[in-house]
Amino acid sequence: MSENAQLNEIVGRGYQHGFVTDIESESLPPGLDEDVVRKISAIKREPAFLTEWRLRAYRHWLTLREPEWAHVRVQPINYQDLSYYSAPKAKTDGPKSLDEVDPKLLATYEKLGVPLHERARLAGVAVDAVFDSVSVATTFKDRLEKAGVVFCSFSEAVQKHPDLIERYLGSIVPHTDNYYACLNSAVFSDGSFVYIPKGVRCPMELSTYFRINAAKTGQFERTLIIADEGSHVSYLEGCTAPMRDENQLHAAVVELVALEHAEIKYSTVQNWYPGDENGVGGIYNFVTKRGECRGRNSKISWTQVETGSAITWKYPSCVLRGENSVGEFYSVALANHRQQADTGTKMIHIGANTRSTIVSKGISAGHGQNTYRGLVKILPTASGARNFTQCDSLLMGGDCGAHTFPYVEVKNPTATVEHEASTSRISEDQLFYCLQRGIAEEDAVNMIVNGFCKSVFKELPMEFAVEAQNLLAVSLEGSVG
Amino acid sequence: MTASSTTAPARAPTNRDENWKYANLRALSRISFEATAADRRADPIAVALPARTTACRLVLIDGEYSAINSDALPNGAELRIDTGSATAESASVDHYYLNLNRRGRRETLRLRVLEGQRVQLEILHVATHVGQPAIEVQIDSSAELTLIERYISLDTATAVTNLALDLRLAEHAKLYLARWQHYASPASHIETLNLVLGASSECDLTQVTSAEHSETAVSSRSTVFVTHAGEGARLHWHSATIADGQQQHDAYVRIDHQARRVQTQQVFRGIASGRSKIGFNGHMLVGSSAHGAHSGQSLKTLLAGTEAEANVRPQLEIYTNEVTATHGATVGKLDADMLFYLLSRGLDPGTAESLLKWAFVSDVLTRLPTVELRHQIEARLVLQLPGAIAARQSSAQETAG
Repeated sequence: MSENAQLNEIVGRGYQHGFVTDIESESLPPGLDEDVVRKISAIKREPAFLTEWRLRAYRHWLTLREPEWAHVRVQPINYQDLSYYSAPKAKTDGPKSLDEVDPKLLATYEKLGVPLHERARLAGVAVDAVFDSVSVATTFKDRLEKAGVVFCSFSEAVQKHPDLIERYLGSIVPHTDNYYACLNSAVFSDGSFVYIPKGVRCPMELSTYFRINAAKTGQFERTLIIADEGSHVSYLEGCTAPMRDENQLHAAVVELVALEHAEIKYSTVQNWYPGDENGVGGIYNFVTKRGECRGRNSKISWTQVETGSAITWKYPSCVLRGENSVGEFYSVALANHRQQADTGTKMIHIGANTRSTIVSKGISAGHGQNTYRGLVKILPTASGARNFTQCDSLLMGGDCGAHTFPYVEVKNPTATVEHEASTSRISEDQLFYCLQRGIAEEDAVNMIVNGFCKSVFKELPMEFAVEAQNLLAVSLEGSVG
Repeated sequence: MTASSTTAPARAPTNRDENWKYANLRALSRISFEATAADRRADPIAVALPARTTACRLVLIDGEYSAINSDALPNGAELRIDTGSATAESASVDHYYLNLNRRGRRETLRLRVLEGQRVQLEILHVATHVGQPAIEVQIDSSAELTLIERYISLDTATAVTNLALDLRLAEHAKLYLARWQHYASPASHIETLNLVLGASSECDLTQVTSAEHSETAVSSRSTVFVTHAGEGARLHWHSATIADGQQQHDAYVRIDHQARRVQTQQVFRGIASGRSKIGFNGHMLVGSSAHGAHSGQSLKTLLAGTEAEANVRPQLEIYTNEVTATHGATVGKLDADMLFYLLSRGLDPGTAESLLKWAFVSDVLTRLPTVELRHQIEARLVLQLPGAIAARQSSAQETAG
């Protein structure tokens, strides 16, 4: 088979998670105004401070305009056409155990490969699954409670730990931050909440699966992770959505707080529906993720594998405030067919001797447009700060694009910042070498692409690394050539 | 460069505009370009000029050709001076100052190097008050031009220059362009360059931006558009910026690869001392028709002042897979290992640092097209990097010994 044909076959393989689960859901009618914001807050039985916070965000959102600086083309979004709340209909207020969860829903998660239930036990992973807007099940609560770890849905945290919510919500991503974060602050429906107490090493990986199921809804979840002094947590996040011809909006906010000597490792395998090969449908993934290393010697590490979404607009960032704190960002972003990705990171060095590492691998195929956009900012207080950035792009096919827009801003002469990048197609020598060894062309391309991404995959927890590798192979099916 | 008289003229740029993020717009917004009309000189003036770097020199005082100070043009080149302003305007915010130049310029210098000819020229820009020079250079096929452009100011009040420079190379043409900005008195310098490279043409551009003294208040902004329009065109870009005191230098360079097998090599070296600010935004664009394009960028900045600032943006925008594009950027202090090596050889810390700074900008200085120019630039820079002369001499003696 010719190189082109092989590539086309690899790229052309379909989206595996495009099914729709036929589950009755309760939704608010489309439209957004202060009443909708109040209604969401009322459904969630939120305290007054949170309702007020949402309303402040909504009023501020009305004054903002959608950002236009990203290297993506977005079809206009009619925000009044979306439903801002959709929840699977439940007989009781909420499932008390997995037995009470709609079996169809569990079947969905099985199809997705979410390790819920027994599978979760085998995998040793605690899962919080968010379906459309509502968290439906959280596993391994007891074991986590014994360790003192709080891992629950955001709504539950609002009821049980309002003090923590009031103290930390919006402290990293304020409601005024940007257009989509502001919208999220007004209408967020659920999400995950994690609190790791002082000195505790979370006994297992925590994981959340996000799923958009209902049509004409947006998903606006909010994740807040607080790692108290000397604690450690590894958190995994996965996302899928059904195949629909319309574009659906996903505008999430993730806030991480690492206090002294704490460490947070946040891994994402994003596989929202990317649209078909002509660019019809797909998720608009406009996400704000930011972590703050607030205490000395703290560490936040972001690892992401972005293979889905029609458009990705996402810059997981680290604010390195504490002395000697460390920020890391490892990313593989794939843009195939008509996908567009504008993703990268921001490393803001405030404390002395702070260090950051950025490794970004972009793969463009078909008509995909992949952009790395990253800011490294060294403030005058960050003496001895250090950054190393490497961002490489791989082009597969003549109609795709790979772009690199780094920003290096240094205001302290004792800092050292290094940035290097390269863009090229798959090396013909490497391919030839593999073919000479009798390896099929498709396998050879997969092997080369995996080698290209290896420095990122090795940062992922084991089970995610395997999934990410397979996902990449599936997403690239048909793109060899 | 696209220009259309039907579109609305560009608005003034702000720091929210991506390509003007690090420009010293506060200083630029205070400039009144209207002064050109009011301050028109009645008579040509003779000024004391620095030594020549080529046999032929043309002098522009505040953007106007000064016949009394200029030499006769060598064979193989033609010069035409058209008076009056130009009308075509662009709607792009990046062309705001170019539009001002078009409206405010009093004359346009049109220089042409004839087919197959080889010419060496120096254009000396003398700024005394406000000037909006406009120069258009056409290099015919297989012709070669060595052009040295120098910018100086007379020791008077703040001088303002808003330059529009347009360079076009026909096929197989060669351009060795050396640009040296060296103001001795407070100055604001804005320029918009447009360089179009024809098939198999080659441009070797070297640029040095500095000021006579660290306390000289100089602010500069350079907006450059290069288009590789013909197959096999090549560009070597080497620029160095040495800033001190409160000086601010910012450049946006967009290199657009639109033809097959074109090549660009871009090197930038910046040294920011005192409270100065350096910004460099190198934007490489490789279009879908630029198969086999090759681009490389190396942007390095040294921060030598406690309150100095450097903002560097090496950008790649690529729309074809038949390409090799790389870039590297560093911002930091002098390499501790190198410093240690020199100190262990008995050099004092000041001399060792100066020597390393000198070596840092040497990547650019060694590319200067004429020895005379290089000597003149080195003689000036050496005053800004004290100890460098002694270090060079002592290292030379060591080598000889």
